[in-house]
Amino acid sequence: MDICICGAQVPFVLGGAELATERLVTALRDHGHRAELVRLPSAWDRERIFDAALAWRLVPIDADLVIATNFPSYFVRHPRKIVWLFHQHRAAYDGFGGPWSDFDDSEESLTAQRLLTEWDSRALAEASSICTISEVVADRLHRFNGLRSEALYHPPPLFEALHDGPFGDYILCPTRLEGNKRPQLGVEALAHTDADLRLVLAGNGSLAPALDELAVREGVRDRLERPGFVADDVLVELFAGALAVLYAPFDEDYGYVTLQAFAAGKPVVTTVDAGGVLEWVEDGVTGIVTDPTPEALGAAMSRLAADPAWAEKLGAAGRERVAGLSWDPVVERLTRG
Amino acid sequence: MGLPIVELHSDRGPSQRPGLLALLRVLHERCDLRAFDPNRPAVWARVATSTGSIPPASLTDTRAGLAVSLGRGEQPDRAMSSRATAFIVETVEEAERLGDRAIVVADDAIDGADHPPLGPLNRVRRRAALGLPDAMVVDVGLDDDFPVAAPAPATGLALAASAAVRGPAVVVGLALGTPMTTDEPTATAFGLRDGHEVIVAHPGELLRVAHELAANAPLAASIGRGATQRFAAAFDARGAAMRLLARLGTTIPDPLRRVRERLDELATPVVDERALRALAAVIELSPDHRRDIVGAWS
Repeated sequence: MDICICGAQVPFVLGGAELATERLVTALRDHGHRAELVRLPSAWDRERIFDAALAWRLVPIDADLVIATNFPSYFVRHPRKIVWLFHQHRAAYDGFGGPWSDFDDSEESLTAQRLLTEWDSRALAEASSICTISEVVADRLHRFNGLRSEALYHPPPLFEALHDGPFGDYILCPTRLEGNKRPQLGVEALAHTDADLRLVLAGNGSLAPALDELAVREGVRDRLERPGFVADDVLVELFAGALAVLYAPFDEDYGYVTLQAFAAGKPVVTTVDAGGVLEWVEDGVTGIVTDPTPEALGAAMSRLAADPAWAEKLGAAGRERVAGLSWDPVVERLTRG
Repeated sequence: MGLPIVELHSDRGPSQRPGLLALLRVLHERCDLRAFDPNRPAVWARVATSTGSIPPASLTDTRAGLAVSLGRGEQPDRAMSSRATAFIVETVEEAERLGDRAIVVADDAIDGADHPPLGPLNRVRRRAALGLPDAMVVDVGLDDDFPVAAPAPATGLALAASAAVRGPAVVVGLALGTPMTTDEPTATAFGLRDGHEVIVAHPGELLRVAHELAANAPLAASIGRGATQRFAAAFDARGAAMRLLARLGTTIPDPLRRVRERLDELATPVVDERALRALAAVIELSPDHRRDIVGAWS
């Protein structure tokens, strides 16, 4: 089949959605289809979010099948449209009024939110079927738009390259250093561990300077390593040598880090409000789920440091949990229509 | 360029079908709606408010589309059946009998753009912004000033977590996606199903059940969604007008036509800020035709 994968992108911003669409193209081609990625630029500010949606509405696409992914690419019109939803415009839904949303209780915001809900509901309902990347995304779609969908899991980047290794003396936290990822929880948790543990905080972001200052204030600067952005091969080895992986974002859509940790045979420490991460991390089975407080996270890290054999057992269970992940069922489901 | 001419064939005297009038009002935004004139050489389409109002000449003119409103239970004869492009009917059941040429406009249909649906999140935030209680339940009775024109009950229905509603106001509640309880006579009169688009209760229990509904967020959301779906299927004169135009074929001038059609698909009012933004972008490309474009848009 000739298949167009539609994805929206804010220029110069590369995240999980952009990586996943590229890998979907590769997977479809591996299965003998002709696949092309169609991208239009987007902007997330309230004033302009409808512009890109309308642009998608007017884009002519000749293909046997169209797979739309993130907001607002699912506004594309096609007689055979499948949606594999990565996310909606969360600032207008579960993030409404939050620190990273420009939707507030003004009349302008409420009018825009109402209209966006209407547009989303209609454009998504056009699809012959709706899949999502996780149950969390499916649940939001039902809660806010009344649409049913099915979760369709896919393997994370580096899935084939990740491997296990010794259970070292550090906790790895690979994440963008932004507010919704809550990297500060890891730094603060370090001050609440009674073990001689280091925290390797790999990634870049706007919070980097504040995190360094926080580490000084908490008295853990000498135990915090912040290598910034790391290359794929370095990241693979960081996973392999970690005692465990800390991943405590707020209400994550999916969370590649969790799956990568499991692929490397490492347990994951997370929080009860981490969203899609909890579809994989089971407390005491594949990791530890705590309250989103530095004290609780610190205690969890200490527990793993005190009992590396238990950490290994949790990691092995995690690896088993993701063993069946593959692009094959994703391609099969999406091309079925 | 200019708006396409649609000729209206109607019976004498005032119409007993407010829903049909609402549809014609919306149609008038998109077309140049004119009374029948036997000397007019050509029209784009014809709309007849009854089978008896169509002159023989219009039946034989196959160049123009023809939409005919059927009375309840009325069957089109063979000539009408082969000639008509669309049938305007009152109920979903009648539409199912006539197939994809049928456009449903209930007698109580209203313009959905006047009362766009508000989901639970939007209602919660609006109540918070106005300092209203979160569990706000409104009671709209038969004596309230309805249908449609009265702003106060409609505003209450737009903001409420749930509502107890009897009588014609229930249509506005359906449009707004308000989770509603109603009595048996109202449900029967408007063809509403218990547990789908409304909760039916004894008249003396309506308010209490409405409070229970407000406290049950998943059920309230489900009933609210069912309400908007029911409204779109049977009571939305604007949606029906758009479907009718699609059946008849649209001739709004390019380049605006496709933009306007795409906005119509998403139920975006003509005067919405987002729609005007798109209009402004198109006008910039065609300043010489500014007047025609604005005319076609509205």
